[in-house]
Amino acid sequence: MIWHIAKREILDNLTRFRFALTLILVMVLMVMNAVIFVSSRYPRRLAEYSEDTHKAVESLKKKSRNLGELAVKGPGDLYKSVSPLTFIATGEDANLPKRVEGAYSGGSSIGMTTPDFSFSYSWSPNWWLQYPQDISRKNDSLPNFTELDWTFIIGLVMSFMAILFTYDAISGERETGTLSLLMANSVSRATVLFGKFSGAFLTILIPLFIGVLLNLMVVNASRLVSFSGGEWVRVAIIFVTSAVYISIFLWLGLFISSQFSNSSSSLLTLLLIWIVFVVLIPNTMGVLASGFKQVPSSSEISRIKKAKEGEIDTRYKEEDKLYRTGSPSDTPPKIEVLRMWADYLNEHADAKSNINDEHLNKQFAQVAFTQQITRLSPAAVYKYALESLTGTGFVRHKRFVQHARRYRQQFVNFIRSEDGGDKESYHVYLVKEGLSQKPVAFSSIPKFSEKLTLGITFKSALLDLTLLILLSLLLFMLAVLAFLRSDVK
Amino acid sequence: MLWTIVRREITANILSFRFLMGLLIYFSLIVTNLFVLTRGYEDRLQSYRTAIRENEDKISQVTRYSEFGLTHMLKCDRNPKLLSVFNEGVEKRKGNTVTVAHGYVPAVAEQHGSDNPYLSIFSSIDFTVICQVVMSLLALLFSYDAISREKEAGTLGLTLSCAVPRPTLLLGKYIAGMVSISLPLLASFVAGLLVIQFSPYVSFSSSDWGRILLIFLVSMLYVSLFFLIGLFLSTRTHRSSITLMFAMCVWVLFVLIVPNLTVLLVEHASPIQSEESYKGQAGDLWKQYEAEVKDYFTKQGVEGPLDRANFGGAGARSGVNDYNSGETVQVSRFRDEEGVPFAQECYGFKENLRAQYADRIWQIRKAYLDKNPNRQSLLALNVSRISPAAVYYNAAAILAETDLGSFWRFMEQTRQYRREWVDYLRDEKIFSSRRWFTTEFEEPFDLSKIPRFKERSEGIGNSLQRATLDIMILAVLNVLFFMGAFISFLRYDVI
Repeated sequence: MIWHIAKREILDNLTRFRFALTLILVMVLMVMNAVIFVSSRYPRRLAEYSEDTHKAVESLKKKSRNLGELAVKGPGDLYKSVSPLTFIATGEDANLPKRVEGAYSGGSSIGMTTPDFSFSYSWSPNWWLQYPQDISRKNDSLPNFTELDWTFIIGLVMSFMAILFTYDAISGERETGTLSLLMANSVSRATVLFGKFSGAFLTILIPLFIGVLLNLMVVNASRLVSFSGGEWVRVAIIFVTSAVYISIFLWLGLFISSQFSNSSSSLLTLLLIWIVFVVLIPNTMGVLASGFKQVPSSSEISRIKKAKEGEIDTRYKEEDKLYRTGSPSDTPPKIEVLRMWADYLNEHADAKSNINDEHLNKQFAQVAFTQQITRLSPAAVYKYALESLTGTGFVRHKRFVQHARRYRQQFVNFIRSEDGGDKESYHVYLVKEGLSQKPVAFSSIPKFSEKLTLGITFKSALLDLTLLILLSLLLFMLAVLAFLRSDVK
Repeated sequence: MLWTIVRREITANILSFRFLMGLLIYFSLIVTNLFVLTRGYEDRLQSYRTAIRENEDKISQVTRYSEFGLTHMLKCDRNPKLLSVFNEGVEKRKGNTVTVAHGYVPAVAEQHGSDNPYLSIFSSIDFTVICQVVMSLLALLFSYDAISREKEAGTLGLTLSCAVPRPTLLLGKYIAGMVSISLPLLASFVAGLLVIQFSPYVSFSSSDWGRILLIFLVSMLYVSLFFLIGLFLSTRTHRSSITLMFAMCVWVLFVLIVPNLTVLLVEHASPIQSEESYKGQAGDLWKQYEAEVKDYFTKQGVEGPLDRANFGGAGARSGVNDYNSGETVQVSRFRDEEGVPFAQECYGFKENLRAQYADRIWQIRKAYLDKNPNRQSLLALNVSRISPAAVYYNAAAILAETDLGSFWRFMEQTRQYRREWVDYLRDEKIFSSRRWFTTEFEEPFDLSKIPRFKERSEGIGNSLQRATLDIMILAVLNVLFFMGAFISFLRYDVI
């Protein structure tokens, strides 16, 4: 019986204007998305990434001529790789930094002569991880626009179409009086509802499927990207997620439709709900949330940094302690001088590193909090789910920073173990003169890389996927309950 | 007769479900949003005031004029615009503080007071966007069934069988619809203004009131356009559900899709070159500058300006930045006076030349900006005018002084300020003064006469003039759709 109703609904829908409109709109947008992606966006990003990493490798090679220098100057810039699935969810990547900086280029020198001693030393401060705000977007005068990715085409346009498919499913039949006729036969209400749902769902899956297929065909035909098995699995999960997302709006439409006796009222209500939850909440909550969780301002941070550095300096420079016993550049250096300077420089680098890390953590916490609030909107949940699955967006950026921090430790360990192998070294970490002065084999230096396995991406998307499924179930139950209790006339 | 129709329609509209829903949602959105945006404005105002104070502090710390070239550059801060609570425009996207020096002509603005740049991944909406999205939808919902529904119900034929001319009926429906829809709009403006007035930082000037009034009128024009589109569609169809479908499609296309799409397409169809080309040329010019300075010194038989000055004590220290656009010199003590006039003369030459080179480099940079990002932005703006929603947003941004044009105006003012500053340095012969490089043997240092940057805001007439094109587009579209509805209703089959 369900199938009977569904078939009737499908046939009815297929001949409707809204079906043709959805099909054309989704096809055009999907093809456009793919063409823009393969013709300019992705190649440009890839070229930029490879140029950046090439430069980083060159500068690392230069530094590897001397282990001590490498240890002080650090591994250099670490770049975030470009996901081949960015066309599905761009994740505002253009507004997120593309690198973290594992280096510090700067120098200091001190020379002094007093009656007791004379001292001179020039050094570069030890490296620490910095998080510069350079983004890949070129023109900041252009209006902020929503990217034309799947999160827009499916999250916004298709959800709207889903409403247009179901707003009159029940209220329309009530209006024309066919609902009571239908119910006069021996069909249960649940059957009618399921029939209506399956009819609308199967019809709307047609444009979705064709759109996605066209999109993937264009992307694959360009030979720019060759998807691995893992990526195909991800695309499949994304497709299923999209179907679940659309079903949310279909159930919502059926729920509201069963509450009204004329179709224009149900459409109006649905539109307003849609505007609030799909358009407005994801866009207003960002500003709202930033008011709740405060982050220290950048001038405050630089004040804290200065104070901390001043404190360290006064501690070490008290009675010229740091200069009195000798300079690290003496030949041969005294081991206690090396130790003291290493402590001094390490403390500086650690202090800056800690303040930086903590500041970034706070900023991230604010963003995460804001995302939490925007999860009131199913469109935002859907967007985050897709971003996690494609490896873009804020979650990915956060993971990138975590990887960079892990790599920092890896790099330090490498320097220590390499230094341990050199018998001429003083093994004092970290002042340049205290470590081995031998060149390092470039190939042995650990390189920064991010591993994005299917498991990791799926795990980070799990919360959002669960939310979507739960919401769909909730609305399904609401619709069933509401329809069972509603009046047929 | 017209009055009867208007009254009947208004009553019907106001008592309708859609009116209640629309009012409720629109109202709550506007109030929460303005509340939040006013907070944001207060924060920006605070950080603006802090910036001004810090700037004055920094000036008072200067001991030698050369410090203005590198370590203590003068700053121009942009006043946050009060009306940004109505329309944010580029206010938060473009920077608001600009550094100026005799060796550097400003071209970009930095951002002060941004606590968390990562929040920029969340798009934000303002009063204008809410109006753009919600009011246009409400306008369509009010008008889509004006004609086709009456035809469905059969009342259209009944009405027209009385002595009611068709134009009167159409006009009556339009007036009534606009009156009932302007009520929520007006109420939201009043509520918004009340919310803003609660803030202790805000005080409206008379020109602000004028601008708010203009923004309101433009909003009315925009809402009226969508009302007329609905009316027009209603006279073209015979079933209200069909009209509704068409109306929704028009809305989704022009309000949601087209404004995003045009920017995206422009960004891809007309990409901009990287800054490298301009930077290379600028680097060459600075090399030329260095060579010219070197020539001059060779002619004088020295290596550097301080060569003949016999300084003692801790000695001379100087720092130059990457692009040669600034240099600080510090000499703490001279052994004798002999070489000092020569050093003054050298710096007089060198710094004057630096200011000239900075001007030449600005010309190159200007050419780059005009050909690349600025051209692209203008193109995006013009192409986006396909959508009335974008036209409306732009007009409101101009009136709120938050559009790109206002920002460019500010940048132009900072460059003018730099010229003033350079003229001041030249007129007072500061480049060739002792105080350029030393604090020795000198009367008290007076910095109060240094020109300060003062942003001149644009006159309301000027803004209106710039907004004319956009307002005209809206007006012309209004007239077109009214005529369309009119003609098509005259020929409408009423039964």
